[in-house]
Amino acid sequence: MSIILVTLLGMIVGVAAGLLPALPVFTGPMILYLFVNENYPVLHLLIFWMVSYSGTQFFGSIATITTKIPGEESSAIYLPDIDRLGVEEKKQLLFDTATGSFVAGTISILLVWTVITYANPNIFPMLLGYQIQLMAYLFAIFLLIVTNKTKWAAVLLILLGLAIGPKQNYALPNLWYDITFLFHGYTLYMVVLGTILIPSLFAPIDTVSKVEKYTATSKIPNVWVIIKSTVWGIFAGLVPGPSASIATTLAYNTQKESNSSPYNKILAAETANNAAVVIVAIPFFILGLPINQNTLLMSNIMDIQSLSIVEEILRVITPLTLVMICALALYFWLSTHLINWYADTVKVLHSKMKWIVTVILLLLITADLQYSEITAIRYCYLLLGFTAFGFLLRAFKLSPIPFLFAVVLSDKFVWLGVQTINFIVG
Amino acid sequence: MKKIISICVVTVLLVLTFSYYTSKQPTTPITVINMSSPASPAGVFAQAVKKAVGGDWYQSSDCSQGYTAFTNIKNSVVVYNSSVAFAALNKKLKNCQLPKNVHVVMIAQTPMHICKLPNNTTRLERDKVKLGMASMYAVKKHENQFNSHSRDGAVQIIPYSGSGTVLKSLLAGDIEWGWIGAGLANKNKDKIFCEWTTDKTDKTKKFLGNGFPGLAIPDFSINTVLYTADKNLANKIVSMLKKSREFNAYTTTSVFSVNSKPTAQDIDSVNLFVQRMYDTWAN
Repeated sequence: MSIILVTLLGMIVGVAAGLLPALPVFTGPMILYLFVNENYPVLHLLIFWMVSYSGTQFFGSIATITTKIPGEESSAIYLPDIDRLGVEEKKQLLFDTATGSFVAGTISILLVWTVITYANPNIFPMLLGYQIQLMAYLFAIFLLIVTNKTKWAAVLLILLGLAIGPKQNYALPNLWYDITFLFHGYTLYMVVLGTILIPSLFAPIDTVSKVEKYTATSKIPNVWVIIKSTVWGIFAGLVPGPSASIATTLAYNTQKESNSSPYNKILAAETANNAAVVIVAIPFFILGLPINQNTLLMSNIMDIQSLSIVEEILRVITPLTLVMICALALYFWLSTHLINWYADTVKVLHSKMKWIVTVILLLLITADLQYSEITAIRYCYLLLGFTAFGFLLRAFKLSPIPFLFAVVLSDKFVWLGVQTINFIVG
Repeated sequence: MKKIISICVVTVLLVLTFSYYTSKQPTTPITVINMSSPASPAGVFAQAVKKAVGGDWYQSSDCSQGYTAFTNIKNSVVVYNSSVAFAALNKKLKNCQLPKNVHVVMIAQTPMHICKLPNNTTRLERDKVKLGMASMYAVKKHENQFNSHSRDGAVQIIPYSGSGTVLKSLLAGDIEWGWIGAGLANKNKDKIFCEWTTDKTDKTKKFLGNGFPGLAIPDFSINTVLYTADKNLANKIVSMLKKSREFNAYTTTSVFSVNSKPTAQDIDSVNLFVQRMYDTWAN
């Protein structure tokens, strides 16, 4: 019963975050932060996380196709193509993207299950060896730098994040304790708020295009496009960074137009991102390596609860997979029905979105303040500092993701560095 | 500009209202503050306390932050760790020692086992080996003591966050030997072989002091002290822990010797042990 409830809650959050552009794709783990001290079973946490995350990709396309407002950032790539589609084509596209999303999501979760069951550290303990871990982390950092437009800035942001992140590390010199004293008491939630969410409130709002009446029309979708895009999505899901956007870009750019219509390009993009958001779980579950914002936040939640995902996952992977398949089937049904209601909701809420998001953020800030157990003044001073940093990054058009990535990974990465130096110099 | 100001005003009002509301909530659960790494025996002990009292959890990033949380959170109990207290002295961190004017709920001690993989043929006292241990006491002076009386062996100490990560690294084959909390070592006895121990009374293993006469603290143990600010709360926690079957089973399997009626002398002995570590290993 509790699993059904958690799944439904995850679906509600996923649908809302998918439809409403102001709610980021990592709304699910952000909400989990509110309950991080309540000791919920790890299966419940993972179900809520994966179900809500998949929902954002499933429903992001509906908002984009019907209202031309990208429900989540990865849909933005095909925004100019929407006007080139007729109403009938859009109806068919709504059905086909739902089919593509379902197929990609299902194949990906089954792949995750297979890898976790047959290639876990219990069978191959060397997966947790420092050489493999270090290579994986260095490769992740390398890709994060390479995929960033301003590479030197990404390097600096990563170094900054690595400096403030480590905890309980008595192998570091005394100087490190003096430096980190300035950041004493910060929370990851505060970092996300300051560097991403608060600055995004001041971004200009897109206008809603004229909304037609839609019913998803059943059509036999292009199976080859779906399979090819799923493979692209699986590949992109293993690349550190914004996995969904990388998958969308890869699939969109490699798919050719047919009969001068962008139909298949959009179908490819919307299929690939659904595979990517599920596949990111593989490095996270096997190596404990989070590679995008969503897994970074989830990794931090697991750390706060003193849970090791690598140890816990074997116990829960099968029920998690079954729940995910059921949720994907439900998403398929929901995304091919009630489309006009979704479109109207997006249209109505869109103009009030900043206020809605402000209220949600305030509630989350208050909860974070309660849990952080530092004085309100110190909380405000730290949050203001991170917010100023977020605005600075925005002003210079720099992504805060490398910084966020480094803050969360710093503890494990610095430990690996300390041990590697000892192994080599020793 | 108007919009920004109005957003800021609403923000402040909502935060204040919600904070006021939550601060007026009548029931305050017990919060267990863990100042150690979650991977350490003291961290696992803290989790067992949390389960027994059904309370909230606060993981501090270092012991100074743990003490700050203790002063801010009503109904909190700190799980103090002597190794962290030593590391804090070594790193000049404030507020990490056992405070005066607090009520000690109990003191628990656990020894360490020194283990290897069953198929590993290296000998700790003779060969060139890597020994993983928690970073607090993975210091050069400790390493030198290991090697000062060794004939031709060379122990290289590698720092880790706690016994849990030492075990992982041992299983992965990164290190030949691991310095692991007795409870965790016993739990994994089908995977590892623990030849040495810091517990003099354990007749099933070799006492570390016998193999390494140069070690100044061969009887090393982790001293965990639970303390609160309120006497009634301390009594309540003692009673809850005594009644908890799960907690009592945990202390037995985890080789924690528990003293739930600590005297001033017992508390002094913990402070003296920390001082002994400081005098022996500090930079």
